[in-house]
Amino acid sequence: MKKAERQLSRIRIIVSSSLLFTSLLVLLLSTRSLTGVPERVGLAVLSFFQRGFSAVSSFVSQSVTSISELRILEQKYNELLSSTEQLRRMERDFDRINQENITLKQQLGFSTELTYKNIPAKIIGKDPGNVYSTFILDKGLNEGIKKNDIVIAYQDGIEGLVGRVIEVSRYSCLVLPIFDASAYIAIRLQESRYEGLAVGSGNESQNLIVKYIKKRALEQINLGDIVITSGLQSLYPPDIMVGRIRRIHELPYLTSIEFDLDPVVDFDRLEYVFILTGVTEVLNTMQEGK
Amino acid sequence: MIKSSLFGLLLMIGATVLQSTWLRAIEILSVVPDLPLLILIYISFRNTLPKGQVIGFLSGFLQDSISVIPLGTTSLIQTATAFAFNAFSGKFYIDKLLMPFLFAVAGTIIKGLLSEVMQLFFSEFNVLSYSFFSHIFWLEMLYTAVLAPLVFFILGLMDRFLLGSEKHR
Repeated sequence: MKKAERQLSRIRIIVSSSLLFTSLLVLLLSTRSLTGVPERVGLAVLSFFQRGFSAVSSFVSQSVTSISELRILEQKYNELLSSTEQLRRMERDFDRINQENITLKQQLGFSTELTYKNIPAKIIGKDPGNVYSTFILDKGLNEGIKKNDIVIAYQDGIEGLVGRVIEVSRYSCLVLPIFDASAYIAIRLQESRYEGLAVGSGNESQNLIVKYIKKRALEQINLGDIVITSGLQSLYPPDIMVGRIRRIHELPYLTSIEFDLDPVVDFDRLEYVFILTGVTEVLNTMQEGK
Repeated sequence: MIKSSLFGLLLMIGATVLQSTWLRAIEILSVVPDLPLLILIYISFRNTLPKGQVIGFLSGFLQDSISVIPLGTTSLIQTATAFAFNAFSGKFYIDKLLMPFLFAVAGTIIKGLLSEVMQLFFSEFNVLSYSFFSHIFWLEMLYTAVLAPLVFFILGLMDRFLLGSEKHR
């Protein structure tokens, strides 16, 4: 009996040690960026199921709410009919003003406005753990998504920065949100135009800390001021709203000030986003133009 | 052994997908219970053979692939956690309420401590650990522990598939 127990104990130790050793080996390899393929394969496999789960939950919730939605839709339809006529008049005015704008731009020698291609995407899953904050979108290589593409969202009429793509599989991609502790964004204060660096503070508070803002900016900064991307030496294009100043820290031992930033995007109710592709190309074209 | 291990692995994968999708609907302050951990603890404790270690190792890789965490981190933590619970396999009986609760508490603490150790060595590679002073850790522990009796009861119904030819305890 004791012999059998000893044998079992030996098996446990051998199996566990070899598995732990393999895990450690893989971890060492992956942290030296020699891998990437296994992550993509895993992401592709699991996102397949996540898409399924997401589709089923969407179907169920949509079926339940569709009845009440029908009534609301009818009411909205009538309202929309009346506003359509108004919009038609506005559209005519808009075309006229737009044409006038193009002509004026040409006269002033401005280049044609460059825009990024944006792809709408749905969040199909979040990180299974509570410490990490990444989430998975339902668009991948098939839709032309690339690593380091920028993700934005529209909420309450505001366009805000969400994060960047860090891994892409065929039908899905993994996004690192701006509040993650490993996220860094070159920012600018919209009003005073001072520049700094925003760093994510992690999953718990879901906010950012802005560093390296010159002390002389203190007189020109107010709580609630808007912070945007500066586009300088960064993956992120300029002029995308990042957040609002929540608290200012004046540190006597530093030559710069720091402040806490609340993202303009409410991540707790984020469902749909837009992935900006070809940002680097557009930024390069703009640089060459200058 | 192979059939029951495969079943356990499928259960772990299902729980991981569930945790990253539907379970977010019952999150409290952005915290969800750790369903894969409960399954891992159950399998490791109920099997005398090291099935839990193998399942934790393989499912850990899949969990890492849908996270920003370096590949191998979760598999290492899960293998070690499974080893800890497997070491007590067959040593004592578990009741329906208190032991599952205590197992979940112990499992979360072991996971937290191991992630702390991992961060010591791999912090520059985005390995984050639980802060023992943050609400996330305590809430996750409590939430997982409260759910543990129910999850253990459901898993108990699947003993035939999870234990294979091993004797039921």
